[in-house]
Formats: sequence, structure tokens, C-alpha cells
Amino acid sequence: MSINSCNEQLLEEINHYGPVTALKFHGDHLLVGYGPVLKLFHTKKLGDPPIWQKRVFKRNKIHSIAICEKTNTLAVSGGRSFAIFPMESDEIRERAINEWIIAVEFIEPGKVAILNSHNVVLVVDINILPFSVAETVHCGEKSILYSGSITKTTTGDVYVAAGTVMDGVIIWNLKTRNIVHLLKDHEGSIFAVKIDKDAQYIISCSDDRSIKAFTFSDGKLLASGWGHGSRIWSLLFGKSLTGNLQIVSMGEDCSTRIWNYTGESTLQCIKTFEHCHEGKHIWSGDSNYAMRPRLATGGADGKVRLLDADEEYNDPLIFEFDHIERYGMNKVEDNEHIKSFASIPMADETIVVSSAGRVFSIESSRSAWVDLEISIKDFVSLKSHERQTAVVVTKSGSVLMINQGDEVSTEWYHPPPEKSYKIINVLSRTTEIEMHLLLDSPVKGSPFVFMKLDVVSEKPRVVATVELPKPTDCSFTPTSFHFDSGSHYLFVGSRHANVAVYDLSQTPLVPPYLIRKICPGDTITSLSTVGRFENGNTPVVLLTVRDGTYLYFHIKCHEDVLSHEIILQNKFNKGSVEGGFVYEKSLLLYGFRSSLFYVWNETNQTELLNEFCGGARRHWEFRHWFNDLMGGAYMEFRFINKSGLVLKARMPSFSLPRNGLLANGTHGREIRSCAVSDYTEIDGSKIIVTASEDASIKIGKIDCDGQMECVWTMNNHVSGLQSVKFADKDHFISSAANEEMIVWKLHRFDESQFSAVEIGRLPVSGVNPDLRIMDFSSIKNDQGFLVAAVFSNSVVKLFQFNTSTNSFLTIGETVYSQFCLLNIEFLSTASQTFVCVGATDGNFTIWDVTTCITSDLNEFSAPIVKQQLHQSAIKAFAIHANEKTGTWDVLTGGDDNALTHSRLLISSSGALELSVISFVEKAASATITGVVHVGEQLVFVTSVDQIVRVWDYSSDLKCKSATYTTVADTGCCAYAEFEDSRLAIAAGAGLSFFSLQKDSKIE
Amino acid sequence: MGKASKDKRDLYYRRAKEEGYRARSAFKLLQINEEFGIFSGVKRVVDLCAAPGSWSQVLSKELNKDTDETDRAKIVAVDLQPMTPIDGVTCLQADITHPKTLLKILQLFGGEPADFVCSDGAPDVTGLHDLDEYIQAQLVLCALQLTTCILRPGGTFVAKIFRGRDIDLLYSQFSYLFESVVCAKPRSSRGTSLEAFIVCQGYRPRPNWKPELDLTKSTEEFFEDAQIGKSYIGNDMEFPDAEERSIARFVACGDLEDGDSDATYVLNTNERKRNLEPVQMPTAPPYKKALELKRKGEMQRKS
Repeated sequence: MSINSCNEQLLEEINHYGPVTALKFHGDHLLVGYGPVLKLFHTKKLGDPPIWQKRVFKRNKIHSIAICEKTNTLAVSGGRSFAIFPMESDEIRERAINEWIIAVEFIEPGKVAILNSHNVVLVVDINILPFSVAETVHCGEKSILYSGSITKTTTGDVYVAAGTVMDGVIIWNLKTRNIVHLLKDHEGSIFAVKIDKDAQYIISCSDDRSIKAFTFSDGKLLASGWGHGSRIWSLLFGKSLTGNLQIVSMGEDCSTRIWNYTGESTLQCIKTFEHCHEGKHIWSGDSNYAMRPRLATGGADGKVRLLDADEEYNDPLIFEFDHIERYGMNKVEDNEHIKSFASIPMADETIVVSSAGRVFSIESSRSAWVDLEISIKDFVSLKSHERQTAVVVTKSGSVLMINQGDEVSTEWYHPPPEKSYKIINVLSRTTEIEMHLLLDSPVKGSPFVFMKLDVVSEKPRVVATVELPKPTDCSFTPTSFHFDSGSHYLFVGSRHANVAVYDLSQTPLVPPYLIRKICPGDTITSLSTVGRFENGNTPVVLLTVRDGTYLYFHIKCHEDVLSHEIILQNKFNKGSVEGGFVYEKSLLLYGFRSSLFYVWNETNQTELLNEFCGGARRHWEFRHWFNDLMGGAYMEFRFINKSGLVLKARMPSFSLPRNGLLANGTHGREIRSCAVSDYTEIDGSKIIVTASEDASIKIGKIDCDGQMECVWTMNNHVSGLQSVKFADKDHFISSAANEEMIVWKLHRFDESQFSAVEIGRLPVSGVNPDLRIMDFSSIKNDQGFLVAAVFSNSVVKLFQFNTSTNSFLTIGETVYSQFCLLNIEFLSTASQTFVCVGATDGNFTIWDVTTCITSDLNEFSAPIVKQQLHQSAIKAFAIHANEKTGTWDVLTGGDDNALTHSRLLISSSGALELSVISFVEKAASATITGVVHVGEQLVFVTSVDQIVRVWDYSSDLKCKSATYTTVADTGCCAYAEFEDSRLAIAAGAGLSFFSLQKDSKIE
Repeated sequence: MGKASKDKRDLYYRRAKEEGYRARSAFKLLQINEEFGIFSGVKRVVDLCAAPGSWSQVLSKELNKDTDETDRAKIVAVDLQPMTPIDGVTCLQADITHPKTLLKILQLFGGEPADFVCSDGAPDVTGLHDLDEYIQAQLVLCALQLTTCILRPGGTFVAKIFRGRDIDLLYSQFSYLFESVVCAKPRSSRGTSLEAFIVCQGYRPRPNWKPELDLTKSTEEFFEDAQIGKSYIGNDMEFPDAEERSIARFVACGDLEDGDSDATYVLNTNERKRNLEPVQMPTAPPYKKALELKRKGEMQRKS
């Protein structure tokens, strides 16, 4: 029995999220290498679980996949391992060679070529079992390779493209063993090199961050392309409309770029998909130009995305005002131009008002202009509804309703003459059946005018107008509004982040409830209802602010007095936010980033699309609508530039929010801490929080099968996370470098939805926040939570966090030494409270902090226990009270690979004593990083040797089960107990769920 | 190690600057020596993957402490990158796998074997952990190749390792070649880093094995006849079920009073103000042109 593998059936890995290191299209299916597991997905059934998944290797990650279409056979490789098996087979035999495998390819039905990291190809005969090496082939240059590929050309030649660490690219012929080309144009290691099937081109990329294209016949450099901000890991051949060379590249910066060779010495980047994945690294990609969606990418974040790379979507439609002449019309002014526009996408029409006040309709698909023969005087605004209606509002508040039914009809609505409005600004909102307008006039004391239009009846009509008194004691320029028909609340957002809430169910109307400066930032860009609080009618409202802040809040009504509560607040930092909405459980945000317009899925943390528009525009329109008959969700973006009205239409071939997300994932960087709530939600799930090196915190849900769904990615921290833990059902706490410690509150609504908001933050103690808060522990008490934290400067601090004032009060403090403290836990008896601390010097120290809590005394008394348990850092520990004996079991794991079981007991004299019960010097082959209690005298232990183990400490420490995890840089662990299952979680570069089986199952 | 990096808060970074070392890693070798006394009696030493040269600086200083001019230790520093000269050290810009490099070192040693070989080399990490750990292991094995060709029996070898998933394979293989194999973690090496050092003492050449550098051989092929417990896959390509693995003894080294590389220390205002330019400026990276284009705004999207 080895310490690396025993009773593996007791510790079954049931799900994993981590780097996707290989992808391969197979018709409309996609093969995905997820660590050692190969999964097959249907590319047309987004959201479905994989058709099958097979563990092909014991330890190695899949780095390369090849398919023999004739025999439906797969060849898969990774590390030194490979496997060759019929697609439908479940009997997979892992095989190996002596070196790292760079690439694997079928060169004829019975033969597979394996390129190793020393530029040697092993030709394997797979016709007869056992497999055998038919030939070992090299070209004489045994350079060390970082990358490479094997290509069988349409003429039957087999070429090896070898990307070396130091010597550029070597192209050689497998049959003749002759070197065809030595390409030295790159600087640095070659990260990818490929040859096309027709042997026309060679494409490569290197540490110099350029992409190069060469003519295959003479090895001449054709063109180079620069654009990636960091290393490029994969290259693919694309397919351009012109038939010229097209290259697809992806890499560390999480972008996918499409390049065209146009004959120039510089490759033209024609399309960039930015933020395809989260964090860092797109590790894998593949293309399939036989059908949509063309491209697939796999990231370090564990996500698999499909991208629609068709060039035709890049071409915008441009409507120039001069086009009217084609339809027999003339300008009435010399410089007559498009003044305003509004689209009616479901009718394929765009309404335009010219600078001369003329109104036109344009049929988008034919670019056909029709003069509606209306002249508008005192034009203020043009708005539309997706279905068939556009409205023009004039200064006096008159509304021209244009109906694009079978025939175009128009009708005016005029307010009563005595109103004499002086409208200067109009905001509009649409619902499925209504259009809402908010008219604003600058005249002092004038009201807002709220109008409701019915747009589904034969003719649009104004069904209600309500005058709303403006907030009186502040300047209030409305920038967005939203009417929630369920509650009759009308929300108006303004500059300076003020919100006015009107209760339209009240007659007469009372002045609004004003929320001043609801959050940092300036202009409120959108408001919408995203859910409801269970206990009533009150909506949960999404509010977005241009500078990136977004929040959820709801209105409370107590004895006719309104108040509000923010239940989510976060900041988006990849551009300005012009609006947001929720569709099918995803929060989508849109706005401008430098010269682009983007749409971002905040829930999945990926960008749906970006369109070049030259930057934020004065006049633009983004529309999204859902048409079930037409198969899903649509988006269109229009703007006016110097040439005219530009329409960028998107007809995504997949439904909008998933927008090609085939498999979901997690952080794109290492997870440093994770925690699962003890509380089980109504839907049977539990809330999980993960904290990453990239300063983000993810909050999601896991079910008893280890399926995880991330809902929120919070950006409140600005530095790398150290620790995250639950404080109770509704609160969790996180700590990070930069002396950050945040208390979070969870809110649950709509039965299964939830949100989280920062409610308290520890003030920074010094001028420079250069300390790391390594860990903390909390105990719930009357006022909130007692919190103890350890700092990188060897300080231990005790705080009272008050949940009514949401503030920290320091109530105790001590300095341990000069060593960094790594972890802390509270330990309480009926009368005493202790803190237990692990440090980098291997000592385990306990202080009695009872007097700090019960008196004004701030200084800790001397430690009552200080014992060296490890040679170097105590990386993790778990304390568990043994109720039978009235003692505590302490399990510590060290940087020294050792695991220690100690017992704490209160001696007859009343003193706390620690004694070592059992010690295993070589409990892992590398640093132990996590220890968590998982039931009756059992702990789950993670270490960087990528073995997870369960140790039984009922007597001498005994390794009960051990198995390999594909999670590298294994850094932390957690435990979740469901009604019928118990899960242990290991996290690091990815996240794995292990089902803990009861012993009885094997005995 | 730029000026704005997080190393600034680090005690050892500041000490390195003060004591004129090119990198904070100097203290790692010093602390390993404190624990194992590996410098004692060393007259000929090879420092592999030596750039920027802080280990060679330590060797030059420590090995010649109590010796006169005539009896100075011979130190050869080898790296593919050029190195700024160090007093008392011969710098070779060469490939450590090349037989010519071995000849050159032997020449410098007057045909005598080395007492000590060390390597603090690490590749540029990609972020793909399995690949990075494999490449680091390959680098260690490359250093070991040269070592087996030049180290005297009983000599010492020290190399940087990443403590990852297959480190126990390496421990096992090294234990065939040395009397003692220990995993040393100096206190100056950050606890958050997977880095550690394999300290191998008492070189025992494998009986009936003549190591010979050969550019056409991979490291795997080089050690094939050494019988060091590596699992070699035969023509049937069967996956080795149980490879030989073992866990080396772990030793934390360096005086506890030396300071903790994970801790944050309070600096007085004088220390804060003092300009700590890096001693060794970063060398030109392959992506220099990409950076230039970015600076000129030529990487921005225009359509």
C-alpha cells in the first residue's frame, strides 16, 4: 500500500473544473481534454451535460487529440502518456513513451505518429495488439521542443513541424527524414507551429509575441502579425472569404484573434474576441469550417467556448442620408443629414428624423428609404418599441406615433393645451406590450411626465399620462427610469447617482422617496426588475452606473414609509457600463471600452461580443429582444458616425446568454481559499465561496453531485486573497493582502436566487497598507461577530464586528515574533475563549483571550501554549472538539510534509495542555496545504504533490485512502455535508469534488 | 526583480542589495551551507545556470575566506546568457548539455574533478503546471548529467527543484547516486513558493556505468544504463504501473533569527527613502519589439 494510492474507491473524484488543455472538433461534436478526462459535447446543445466522459489517463493531463475519421478511432496524448481507442470504447489502455509527447497524429489508418520533446517521432503500429513501435525516426537535429505538429498533406506526405526552445522552427519530412526548412525568423521559444493540409503555408508563433506565416515551398517569410499582449499558445488555420491565408491565434491574454494575409508584410487582424476566458490563458483551440460555429477555445478557467468566426458578421450596414436620392428624393437643405434614429428590429425597419425635420423609414435588409411625408417642428426625441412602433416627441410634449404594421400609419397625441410643456429630454423603456416615456422639462417647478403607450393594439395609443413632482431639494437630471408594473413603483435614476422612487398606486401622488448618492459614481444608466422578494410584491431592482458600479436593491415599505436596502454591489472594471439586464439567469452588461462597444456576461465573466465603433458615441442604440419563434435572442448595435448610420447586426447562432459557452468553469487563476456554507438552501444546494490569487471572490452553489454554478464574481478586493470563511448562514468574511478584510452579507430572494454585498471593511492601520491578513476566525455573539485575525507582520488582533453599525472595533492585540502567522482558529469553553495560531516557524501557539473580550484590557496575556510541531511553516490545521472526552483534537500539516495529531485538554489544574499523539514525518511528498475535518475522527488533507488523502486519527495516524488529483498547485480544501452525500473539495489551479464513501461500502 | 515588485517588502531583497548580491537567492545558498556545511574543503566548483550570478558571488566570497592568493578555489559559472564578470569566477557562456562545455570546465580545473556542482536554474514558467514541473525536472537532470561526468566520488550536488506531483520520482533516482538526498527549504525561500533545493551529498558513481555527454541523447537516454530506478518503457509501450518513488527527508535551513521571507517587516523612514535600484537590470526579452509596438500605439484596433 502506497501513500500515493490506497483505497481509492473511498475517495472518488466526481467532478472537476480546471484547465482545458486540448480540444478537437468531430463533426458537430467537440472532444474536450479536461485534465485526465476526455469529454464529448454536442456543439448544438449548449447547456447539456457531455454525451460521455472517459478517464483516459491516471495522472497526466490530455494535451493532444487526434481522430482517424475512417475508423472512428481516437489518439490522445499528454505528458508521457497516450491512448488509442475506438471512439465508442470504454476500455481504454493508457500507454507511454519515455519522453514528453508534443503531438500525436494518425498518418495512415493503422499507424500513429508520436512526436516527442526531443524532436523524435515514434511510429506506432496499432493494427495488432500489443501495440509496437514500428519505427523511431529523427531528422538529425534533436533539439528540445516546446511545440510541434504532424501534418499529413493531401498528397500523402507527412511533415513534422518542430517548435524548439532555442533554435527556431524545424520542418522535416517524416519519410525521407530530410530537413525541409530551418526557420530562424522568430526570437525566443516557439509556442506553436503548423502546416496546412495543402502544404502551402507554415504558421508559427513564439515568445516574441508575433505570428509569422511562411511559404511552405521555399520557407520564405511572408508576413508577421503583432497584437497579443502576452504569449500566444495556439494557432489554427482559418478560412477567409477570399480564399487567402487566414490564421486564428489565442493565448495568455485570453483573446482570440483572426488574421488575414493580404500580400502585405504585416498580417491584418480582422477580428478580436477579447476576454474569451477569465483570468489568464487560453490553453487550447480548434476550428471546424465545415459548419458553424467554427471555433472552440478552452481556458485555464475550465470553460469551453464556441465562437462564431464568420467574416460576414463583421461587415456593418451603413445607411447614408445621400441614399435618399436612389429612391427619387432630394435633400431639402444642403447639409441635411440624419439627426436621430430609432430601430424597430422585429419589423426590420429603422425610423430616421433628418436635420430638416423630415421623417423616413428604412427597410434595413434592403436599405430602402421611404419618406413618411411628415414634417416635425421642435423635434426633441425619437424612440421606438422593438415590435412595430416609433414615437417622436416634440418640445410641447406632443407625441407622433408611427406604426409599422402592414402599412405605415401615423397619429398625433397632444397634451392638453394648458400644460404648455417645454420638454428638452425624453427617456423611454419598453416592455413586451407597452412603451413607457418619461418627459423632462427644465422649467422650475415643472413635473416629469410619465406616459404609458399601448403598442400591441391595432394602433398605438397613449393609455396614461401621470405628472410626477420632481424631487425638490436637489438638482435632479433624469438619466434612466423603470416602471415596475407589479408593485407600481416608478424608479427614476439621475446624475450623481440619485434615485427617486414614486409609488404610483398612491392617489393623490405623494413626493418621491429620494435615495441620495445610492453608490459611488455619477450617471445611473439603467434600472430594471430582476426578481422579487418572496414576502411580498416588492421588486429587486438592478441599477447600473456608467463608471462600472452595479447593484441590486429593493424597497421596503413600513407604515407607508419607504426605505431601501442594497443587497448586491459590485464593480465592473473592463469599460463603462451603459446598461444591464438579466436574461436566463445571466446578468449582461454593455457599454464602451476604448474604441469598442461590448456586451459582457457578468455571470460567466466572458465577453459576448465587441464591435469597433471608434469609442463612446453621442448617438447610439443597443437593442436586444427575444423571439422564440425565430429561435432565441437577438442583439443589434447602431450608431451614427461621419458617414451615416452604422448597423452592426448580430444573429447569434446560439441563444444569447450562453452565447457559445459549452462548459462552465471557475477562476482563471489559482484558488487560494474556499468555503462551503453549513446551511442547505431550499433547492438542496449549498453556497460555496472561492477566493483567488487574481483578487476576485466567486460565490456560487454546489449540489450533492459536485456540480457547481458560479453566480457572482466580486471585485471588492484589490489584492490577492488569502482566506475566506463563513461566519454564519448569512455572512462570510474574506481577507487579503493590502490589509483587506471584508464582511459580506448574503441575501436570498425568488426562492433560489441570492446575492452578496460588502457590509463592513477593516480600516487600514498604518499609512501604507502593505500587510497581508493571512487568516481569521469568527464566533457569532450578541453584537455580531468576534473576529480574530493574523497578519504577515506577526501580529494577532481581536475585533468585535458589530452587525448594526457594520464596523470593527479592536479589542485585543499582541505581537508573536518576527514570523509571518499563517492561520488562526477560535476555541471556546463555557467560560473561556482561546485563539490557536500557526506560524512559519512551525510553532503552534495558544492565547487565552477571555480577558480581552470581557474587560477593557487590550493586550493579550502571555501565550499559554507554544509548541514547535513542525520544522517549518504550519500550512494548515483543523481543530475538532471531542465531546465524549472533553478534549480537542488538533491536526496540523506542514511545509515539512509532516502531519501531526495533537490533543488539547484542560488539566486538573485548569490549564490548557497540548500533547502530541501521533506524528507522520512523510505524510506527503511535498508541502501539506490543507487539512479539514470530514467526520468521525477523519481529516481530508491536500498537498502540492497532487495527492488527496483521508487520515484516520482515532489511534495512530493512518492513511485511510489516497488518490491523485489533477488540481495542480493544490492549495486549500473544504468539506460539504449533504443529506445523502459527503463531499471533500480540493482547490488550486482548478477545483475538484470528491465523494467520501463510508468505509462499510468496501468491507 | 524590478523596483516595484512585491520583493520590495522582503527582508532578503533589501539585504541582498545592501550586501551587493545580484539576487536575494544568494541567501538560499548561504543558508543551505549553514545547515549542511557543503562548502568545507571545496576547491573546484561548477555553478550551472548561474546568471545573474548571485550563487557564484557567494561561492567566490565564502570559499576564499581564509585562503591566500595561491590557494583560491576554482569557480566556473556556466549559463546560456551572458553574465557580468565576478571576481574570482570564470564565466562560460555555454550549453550545459554540450560535451565541449564539459571539456572546457575540465581544462579550467586542470583535469581534476569538481568537489561541488550547483544549479539555481529555472525555466520561464508557462502556467501549465505539469509542463513547468516536467521542464524543471529536465533541467535538474541536465545538470545531473554534467555532474555525473565531473563530480568526484563523495562530492556534493545542489539544485533547485519544484515540489510538485512527481518530485518523489526525482528523489528516488537521486538516492541511487548519492549517499544522502535531502529536500532543503531555506528560510529565505518563500513559503508560498513551490521552490526547494535538493541537497545530495556523497556522490557514488554507479558501478559499471560510464556517463558520457552526447548531444544526440535525451536525458532519459543518458541515464538509461545508470540503473537509477527510472522506469523505461519498452517497445510494447506498456504504461509503468508503479514507478519508483520515495520521499526525501525535509530539512528547513537557516537560522530562525535570520528572518522570515514571508513576513512583512516595519521599515524605518530612512530605509523607505533609500533608492534600491536592482543591481542587475533585466536582459532584453524576446518580446522587446512587441513592447515597442505597444508603446507606439500600433497594437490598437483600428477597425
